[in-house]
Amino acid sequence: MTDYNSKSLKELRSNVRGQLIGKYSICIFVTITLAIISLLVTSLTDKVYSGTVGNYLMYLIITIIVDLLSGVLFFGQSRFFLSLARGVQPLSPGEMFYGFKNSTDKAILIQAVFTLVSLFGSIPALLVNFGVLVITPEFSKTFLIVLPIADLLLAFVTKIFVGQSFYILNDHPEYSVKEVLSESIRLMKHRKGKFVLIYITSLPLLLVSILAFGFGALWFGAYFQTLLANFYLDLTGEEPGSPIKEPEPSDSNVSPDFFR
Amino acid sequence: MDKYLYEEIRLSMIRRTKFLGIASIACAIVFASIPFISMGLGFFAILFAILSKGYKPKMEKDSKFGLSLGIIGIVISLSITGSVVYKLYSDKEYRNSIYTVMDQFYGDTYEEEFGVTPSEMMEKLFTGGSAND
Repeated sequence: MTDYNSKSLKELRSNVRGQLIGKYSICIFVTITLAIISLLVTSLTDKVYSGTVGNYLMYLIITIIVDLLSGVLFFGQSRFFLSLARGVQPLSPGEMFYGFKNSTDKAILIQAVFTLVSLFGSIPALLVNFGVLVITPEFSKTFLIVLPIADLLLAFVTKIFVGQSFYILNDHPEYSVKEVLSESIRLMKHRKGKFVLIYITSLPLLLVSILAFGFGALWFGAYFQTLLANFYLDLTGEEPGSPIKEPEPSDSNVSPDFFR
Repeated sequence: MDKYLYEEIRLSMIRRTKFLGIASIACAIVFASIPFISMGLGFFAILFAILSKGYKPKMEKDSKFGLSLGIIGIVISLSITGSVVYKLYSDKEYRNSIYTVMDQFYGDTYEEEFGVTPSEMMEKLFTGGSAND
């Protein structure tokens, strides 16, 4: 049961498309920058691993630390796309580094929830790597197909409940981490179906964007992040912003014929 | 952003959709041997057609035109690829002619690297047996 004037998925998507007109370049720039940073950090982390068990433990610890720190970037990314959805002008790509100066500790702690879930999901893989668990040919199918899917589902379920945390932290930096997480769970009450529907209905566009030489995913990334930010605004009952600014009365001498 | 500038940016996106559709269909015909170029452009046309709608509930005429051309380009590329794969499966003579060319070009390198010739690898892929079957 919804207790607010909720927007339909169609309206949300229409808002997102409208907000993104003329903003794709800046969004793609942000996406590429974040991708480059995470790629650099991941490749540096991979260099640590050389095959031994002790070394693997070290690799695991570094991966967890890197994953926790990436929360700062995710926080910045959420802030950027939330500003876009609110129609904040001028929109600055520098927003993606907002988390480095503000609420850094809280962003890391929120990310810790996702990291813990991801770590829990990868326990079977860890047991195999440490030689505790031996994969038999009958078990290998389950191990290679079922477990990654279960891991993915677990991460998605976590996202359903605490996925709004970074947006809430952006709006309420005074909240403690516990308050942010409980507020996210409260907001998602009775609205989980819509969140799942957003993901499911975006799959065809994701497929099209991947088939567009793979580069299409950059446009899709911008679209999807803005869609999630708009969903958050919808949850809080806030009206989304528009990039179109009505001209001042003094601008009325500009002729629309110019663009014909 | 001024509403005229906004509309101009949206129109430029629509024009891009049209050009991508035209490029897709052109590449499907000109570069028939490299179908992924046409398919990639076609999917880009579809993506841009959807995104260029903006706040409007329906697509513009030019967007629909670009979208249709993109879909036609994808269909042509898929048909060409499908017919080539079907011919490779069904026509042994055609398959052997391709094998001869492949062995001439890559035979020694493949054999050094993998221990089999390209024709043996391809035959295993298509028939599940050896090249002599």
